[in-house]
Amino acid sequence: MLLVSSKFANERVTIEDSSPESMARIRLTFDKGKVISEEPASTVFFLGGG
Amino acid sequence: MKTKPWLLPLMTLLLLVTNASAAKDQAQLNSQEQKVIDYLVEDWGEDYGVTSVDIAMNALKVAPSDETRFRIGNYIKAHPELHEVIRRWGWVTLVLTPDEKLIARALINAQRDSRPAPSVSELAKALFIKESGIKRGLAMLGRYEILKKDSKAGGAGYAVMPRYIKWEPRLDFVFHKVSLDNGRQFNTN
Repeated sequence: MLLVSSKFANERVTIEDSSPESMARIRLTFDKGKVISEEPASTVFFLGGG
Repeated sequence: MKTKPWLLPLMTLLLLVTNASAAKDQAQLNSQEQKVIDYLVEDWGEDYGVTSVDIAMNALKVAPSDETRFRIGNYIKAHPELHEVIRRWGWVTLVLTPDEKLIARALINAQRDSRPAPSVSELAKALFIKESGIKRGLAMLGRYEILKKDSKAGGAGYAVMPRYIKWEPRLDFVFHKVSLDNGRQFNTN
């Protein structure tokens, strides 16, 4: 996430991930640091940090 | 058949030479495989990179092959001195594909929670992978001694090696694959 909001803040970035406790795949696409798509639709994405 | 006593030292020597040769063959990479290692060593650490063998092979347009991937992965496993990333995050993180990590996690979580081991068809359904892909993944995890064939395990017929039941202090079976518009792909920690 740090990369998405810093080094790649002006790019389109896709992250493929999963939750360690489930087998569900998660796919998030960011454009210029903002989420533009999320799969599955039930994905909960928290913005934050400091 | 009775073996002549004077033949024994010679036979022992031959056996040692054969074993040493096999070990050497296992440790040596061909030039294409070495290029994958060079790519990874260059990539690891850049942008928190823990890039895996499959991504490097794809970047270098190396034909997909479980055998090639295993040879490279086994080399990484045997050579932690290659890069700090191997020593810090562990070879498992770097040699398995996302599918293999998910298969491993399905078996590990079931065994850890004392649930029945999932079958091949259950794994295929849960992970959206063809049964043939599940079998290939199980075989690869077996070759790396993360799983072992066990007729008593039920389900897919593999048990998890004890070291991997509690893996979460390490990265091992987690993946964060990043794809950029320019085509670059890598894994981050």
